[in-house]
Amino acid sequence: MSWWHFDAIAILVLVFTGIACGRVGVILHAQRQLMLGDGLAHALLPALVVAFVVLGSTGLGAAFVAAWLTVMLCQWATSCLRRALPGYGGDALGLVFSGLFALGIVLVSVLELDNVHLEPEHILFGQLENLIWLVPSQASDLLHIGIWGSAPVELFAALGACVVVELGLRWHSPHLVARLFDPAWATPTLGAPARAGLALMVSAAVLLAFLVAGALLAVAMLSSGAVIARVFARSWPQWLHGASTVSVLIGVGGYVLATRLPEWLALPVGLNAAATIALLGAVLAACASALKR
Amino acid sequence: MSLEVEALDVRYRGGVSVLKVDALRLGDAGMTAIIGPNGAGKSSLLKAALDLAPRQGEVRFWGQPLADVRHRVAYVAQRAEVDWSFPVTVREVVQMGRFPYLGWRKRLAADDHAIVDAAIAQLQLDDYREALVGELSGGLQQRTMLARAVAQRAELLLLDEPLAALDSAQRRSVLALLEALQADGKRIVCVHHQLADLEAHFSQAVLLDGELVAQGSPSDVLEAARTRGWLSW
Amino acid sequence: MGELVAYEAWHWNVVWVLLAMAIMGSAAAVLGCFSVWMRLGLSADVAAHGTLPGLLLVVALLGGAAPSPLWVLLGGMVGASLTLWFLHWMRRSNSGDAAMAVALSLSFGAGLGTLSWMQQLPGTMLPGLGQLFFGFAAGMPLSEALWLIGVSVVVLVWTVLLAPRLASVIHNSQAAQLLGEGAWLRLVFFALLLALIAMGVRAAGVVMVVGLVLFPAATARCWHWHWRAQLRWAALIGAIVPAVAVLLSAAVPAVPTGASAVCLHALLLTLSLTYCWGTARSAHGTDARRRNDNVERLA
Repeated sequence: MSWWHFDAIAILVLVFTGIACGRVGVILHAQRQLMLGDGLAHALLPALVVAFVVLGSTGLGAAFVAAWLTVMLCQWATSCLRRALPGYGGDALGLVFSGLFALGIVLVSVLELDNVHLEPEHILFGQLENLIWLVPSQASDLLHIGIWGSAPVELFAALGACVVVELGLRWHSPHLVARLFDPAWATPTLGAPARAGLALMVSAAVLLAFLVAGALLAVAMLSSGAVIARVFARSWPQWLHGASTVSVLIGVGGYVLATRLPEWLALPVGLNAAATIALLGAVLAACASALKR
Repeated sequence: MSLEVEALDVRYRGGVSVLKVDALRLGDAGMTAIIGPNGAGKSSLLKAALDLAPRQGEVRFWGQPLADVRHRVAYVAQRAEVDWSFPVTVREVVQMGRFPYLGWRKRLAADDHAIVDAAIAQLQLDDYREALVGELSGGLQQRTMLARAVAQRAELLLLDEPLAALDSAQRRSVLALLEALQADGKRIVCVHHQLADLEAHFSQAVLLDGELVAQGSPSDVLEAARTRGWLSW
Repeated sequence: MGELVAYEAWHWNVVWVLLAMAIMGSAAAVLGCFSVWMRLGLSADVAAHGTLPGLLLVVALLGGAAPSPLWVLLGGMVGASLTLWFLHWMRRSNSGDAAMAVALSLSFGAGLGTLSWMQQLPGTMLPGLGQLFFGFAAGMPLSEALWLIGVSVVVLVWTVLLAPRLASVIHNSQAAQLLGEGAWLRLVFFALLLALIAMGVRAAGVVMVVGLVLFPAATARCWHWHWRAQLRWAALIGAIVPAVAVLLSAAVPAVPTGASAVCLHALLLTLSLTYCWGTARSAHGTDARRRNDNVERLA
């Protein structure tokens, strides 16, 4: 087993994840809704189970549709709860996602779906370390374009999510900036925001983060880049591209640390890649916040 | 008549009515002030007119629904509703005023830039073009919002407490700019708290308290408030 | 004969677990009401995730042995309070949601990293992943159930005793600070919350404990507007629902207790909301009173 069996695919997936999650993270941060990323990653679980039961497939297309519907359901349920229970700002989100996650756990255990990538291991750690590509036999094989057709489907999912986010951003700009800065002016003047379109971008990024880092660490993929870039950015493009760049660097850097550090330090055990990425991102975000002080 | 309201009823969450107005016409003269005690429905009137609050009843701008005349109306919300920490410059905020006019490529054209520059000059913001809005003083921030309304070529400006949290020098400068805009032919409707300024700067006033109490010239409205012993706020 | 004894033991264990979950749920519900009123938002969730690294630290200190309930309590509290301190520190230069997201990444990244590390070490007595994260109330040993009961009773009694003072601090924090009460009351409240979360995480799981804290408070909010009545309703709902969940998972062993309790809570909240939606019971009262005040003042 050589680096092109494991690392090439994982690093490419992390690059695409960093781009998509960094961008969506910035939008969520500007809306003061970064914890929505955490909540949605939890709420995806019942959606994936239902998608599997109804459609009978674990295909990523079905998962994407399920994620999109979940994002819209969560937004609707949260706004209903906020209207019904004034003063429940962040708690409304907590109610929605813990309720849905509990539903997901009950469904998984009752339906005994342990063989469909929904066992605790995958929900918690993500699937980054399961990405194996056995087709290339030597490094130079990677230069043949044809061979990429046999790459793991997760790679194409990551690329697709990246494209969805980028197209969504193009479609929504420049109005998005006005909506984030001053929604009370933008809504009457520019018309109501296209919630379904934004939900599409958010669901693509959250689903990708869920697959890569698991339900509980997805928030790390979404947040650290946006938080760090916020400290240094003096404009919206700086923030947006800065967050994507930082997310890619954290993702790839964390992965390299996790896979190589035990070797360099001669440690007896390996490090978990998703956890290392989350930890690296959080530490850097803390350092950036200290600088801002 | 810029803004007509009929049988308006604003209720949040299907509960108690915040504001009930049978018929109200606003913005036929230069500057109109909306006054009233806290919780009287002053902000709710503007928000309901702009579909930002749940309402029943009919609202028309120049006889048409809001959807047909979006770009002709500019709203400046209360300070708390704007995300001042968002990293945009003064120029970028004023450019937002051109967004309703963008073509399918969503690019600003040369004359858009000229209009933005003119709006910035009119509101005397030339020195702050590239400054981050969040780092400016309250008066300059308010002027930036007015410049956006100018760039938008809006004919009716709905302002929610534009003078709140400004010191007296800033307040004077914003009021002077509002009067200049009014002289330009803009109609201005303004939720207002400083009753001392009322007669000097406004040509019309509306007194609300959950319903329409009085409307007319500022001195008449103040007199109506006084005779009912309501001038305690 | 042996089978009969085993059955008897299982039977009594269910009763103890039922009692423990009911009291724990009740204490969590009462604390949840206060945390909602104090606008703590998802801090309880972040703290619950922060117990994991603390717990693992204890296991590492004990050289891989299974920790006793006291160690679980101490480790969980240390981990959760460090996480909350970090959250507080991040909040000074970030918005609340960003601070929570980073604190969650830090504590849970550290926890999961350590966990996957320790799973590879030979001779470490760690519960399975499913148990750690989704709770293992059904298989709880008697000693742990007794500890859970003890801690929950202490937390519940203290919270009820402090309720009037806490309410006054929440109602008027500046006046309370002048009286010198705010700071230490908040500290005591957080200590109680962390103790309960550290014990509750073992029973209900890292992800589910926040549901037990938040749901009863929201449901109680539907049924009454006064804070005392809300506390009573929350305590009642918080006790009944986990007890039902324990019975449910005793009947259908595949269903994890914590998750089914949160599901039942969610169902109850949905029903309460639909019932209260049209009536002026929940929060309309406040708006109506404010308008009346104005009318009185102006008349």
